Amino acid sequence: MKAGRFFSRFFWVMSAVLLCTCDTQNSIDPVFKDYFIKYYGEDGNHEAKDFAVNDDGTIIMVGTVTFGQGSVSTRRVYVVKTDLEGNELWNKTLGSDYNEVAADIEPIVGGPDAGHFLVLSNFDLTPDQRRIRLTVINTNGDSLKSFVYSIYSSLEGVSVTSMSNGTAIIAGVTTDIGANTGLPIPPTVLEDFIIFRVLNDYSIDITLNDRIGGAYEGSAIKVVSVGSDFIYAAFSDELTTIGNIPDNGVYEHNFIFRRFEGNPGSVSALLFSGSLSLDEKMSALSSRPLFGTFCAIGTQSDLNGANRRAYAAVVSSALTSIQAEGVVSPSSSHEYEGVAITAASTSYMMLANEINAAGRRDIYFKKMSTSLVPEFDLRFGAVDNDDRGAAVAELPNGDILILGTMQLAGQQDKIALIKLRPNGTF
Amino acid sequence: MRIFSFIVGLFLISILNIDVFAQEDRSDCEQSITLANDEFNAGRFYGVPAILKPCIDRGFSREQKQRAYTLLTQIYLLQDDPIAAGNAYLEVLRANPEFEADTAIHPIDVVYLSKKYTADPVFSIFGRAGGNTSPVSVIQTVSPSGLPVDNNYGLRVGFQLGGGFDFNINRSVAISTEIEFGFTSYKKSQTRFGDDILNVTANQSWATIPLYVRYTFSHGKLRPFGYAGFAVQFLNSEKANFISQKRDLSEQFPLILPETETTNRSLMDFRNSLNRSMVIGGGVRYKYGLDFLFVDVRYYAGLSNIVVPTSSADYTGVLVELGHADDMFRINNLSISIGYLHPFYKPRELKKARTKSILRGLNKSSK
Repeated sequence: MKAGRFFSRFFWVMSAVLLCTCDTQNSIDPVFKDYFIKYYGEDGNHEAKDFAVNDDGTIIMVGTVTFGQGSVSTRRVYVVKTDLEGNELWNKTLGSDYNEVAADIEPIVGGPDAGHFLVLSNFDLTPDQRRIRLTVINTNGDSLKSFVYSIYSSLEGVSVTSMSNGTAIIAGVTTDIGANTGLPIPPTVLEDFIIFRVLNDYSIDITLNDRIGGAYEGSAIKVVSVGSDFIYAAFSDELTTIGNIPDNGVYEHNFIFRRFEGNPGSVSALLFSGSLSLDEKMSALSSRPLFGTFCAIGTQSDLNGANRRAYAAVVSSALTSIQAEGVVSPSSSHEYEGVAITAASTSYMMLANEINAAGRRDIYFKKMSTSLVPEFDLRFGAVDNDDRGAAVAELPNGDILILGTMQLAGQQDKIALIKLRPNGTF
Repeated sequence: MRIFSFIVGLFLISILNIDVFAQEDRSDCEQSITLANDEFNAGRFYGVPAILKPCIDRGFSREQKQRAYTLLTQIYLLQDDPIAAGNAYLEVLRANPEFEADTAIHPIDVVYLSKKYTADPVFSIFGRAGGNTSPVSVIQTVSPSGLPVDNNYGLRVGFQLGGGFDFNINRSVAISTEIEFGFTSYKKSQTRFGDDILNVTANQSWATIPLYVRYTFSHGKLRPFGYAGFAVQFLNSEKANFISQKRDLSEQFPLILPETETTNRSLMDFRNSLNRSMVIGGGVRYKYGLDFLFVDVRYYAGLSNIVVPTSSADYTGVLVELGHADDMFRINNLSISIGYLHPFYKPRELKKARTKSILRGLNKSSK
């Protein structure tokens, strides 16, 4: 009986303890709120492009939504704002009469529209006439004004950089109509890179408006300010004779960095990066300096486009030297294409797409020093889905934000926001 | 073939003969018991054991054995031989472990003696099997999207089997434990990204060790019982099938794609393997010989969040592949089982006789 009493007491004590440890909303670990993957978008397919992290911890992402399928699809610029827990605060589909594709978003840092955002997008007025649109939106996603730039027959914006004086510089590419008078429909080659500045009223500043390329082929990627000067990063095949014949289908691009004061065509310093026997196409440049350097990311491949690898080059901000350059993707059976680069507090963080034999992509992240020495890398994606990166940023507390597009269930694309701890874990 | 038929026939005849002989023996023994009773009633006690011995040796039926040893118990008590009476009463209990002397039927000295002995089982073993369903209790909804999602959980049927033992504190109260293997299932339907559908059917495999206190009514052919306790649950596996469908229902751009099915995805990366729950249940036992058939209805109220806090964070897996993030939830289980219980009866002398009630009854009647 003593044993019976012992067991009875033990039982009731255990029951009380267990009841007290019942998991409730107040007792479960809230980690899932802080680190996550979250998807954004409703009807349609959504392709992420870029994001801006605000001082209040909110995030404004921009991408392209595609409604419908195939030839009857309609594309519009899609903007979504979230808090730091990934909760959607609002989303907006910007109106247009044309199929429009998002290219960039930047906070306006000076001038009368400071505090608003610049959204860069491109649309085809006609099949061979591409236009750049710059839209100013406020923190609620309302489109305040938009401006279309058609200074060339067909042009495409790649990035916009907001300056402290309220101006903005757009980098992009245009069709070399001089060398290609009979434009194919749609145009297959957009050859010269363009750099132009828009003033406070968003009119073009004729003092900083240049088209660079001539017989060469390439694209401007980004303009950043360094003191009173600017650096533009681009890729071009101007270093070789084998690729500089327009439309010959053979390219040998290299990374190009040029420092200029007011006229992009008149440079004070110049650097090239890449191999003369391989093709290097730049896709992004870090927007702020890190330990006196800038880093560009792109894709290196054979001249026929095969064997793609992520390629990076770190240059001094004075453009006096190449600090480091080379392939930054791992040696593997996969191919890679460089997508995005950003300067974190002490390192560079890059995104690339890892491409498997079936042509499907995963998001590849790498943190590395200014000497391109890797710290750690990560992969996100499903083998059978086509997932791709768009942008990466570091939060003030060191947490990492990754923006990408994920294909879900092989059926649809959605914008994906990934938030990680500084060491890359959830 | 003929040889086989011959052997089978011989076997059947043997069986029938054994049965016939046994019935003849019992008929003879019934006469022996009648004779022994007559001798007892005539006050000739000394010859009764000799009358009963051949049948005791050859084999009474259980019921005959009970009557014979009850008679012997009375005789030994009258002969003032408590040791022999006690041994005879233990034989009564071996014949019928649930035998209880009754003052309306048996002499008071037999009733008094009976309070010094018991055959109550210390342990019983049982096995059971049946069906179950698992309601989900959502602690917190986790949206894979930046917007809230609409989740609906549904019931599905599973099955379970298990076995265990009772440690009987007394005839009614027992502490029981068992090992149960449960195969459970639930379904979840999620509407997200506007009108898109993601249907999940998850199948779980559990090993559960409950520990509970059981109260059982101890008399009658049908004996209701109830119990309550707690359980430790090990989630061995959980695999899910997903059906997703993109549905854009806007008037301007309607698009409904065919369903796609993704099968056999493990969710164990998002699960806590060790969980706990409260258990409450009841049922009824049906006495079947000296054993019991029973029906058991049981409810496990899950106490643990079975989902790890990072279900919405992964580098690969269903979150990335399908956009599936688990809610934080506890899982419950309602089951009905049928089973078989075998008590290990142990006729024995009690260390502390339960004779007070008899003495109180005698005192009352003497007043």
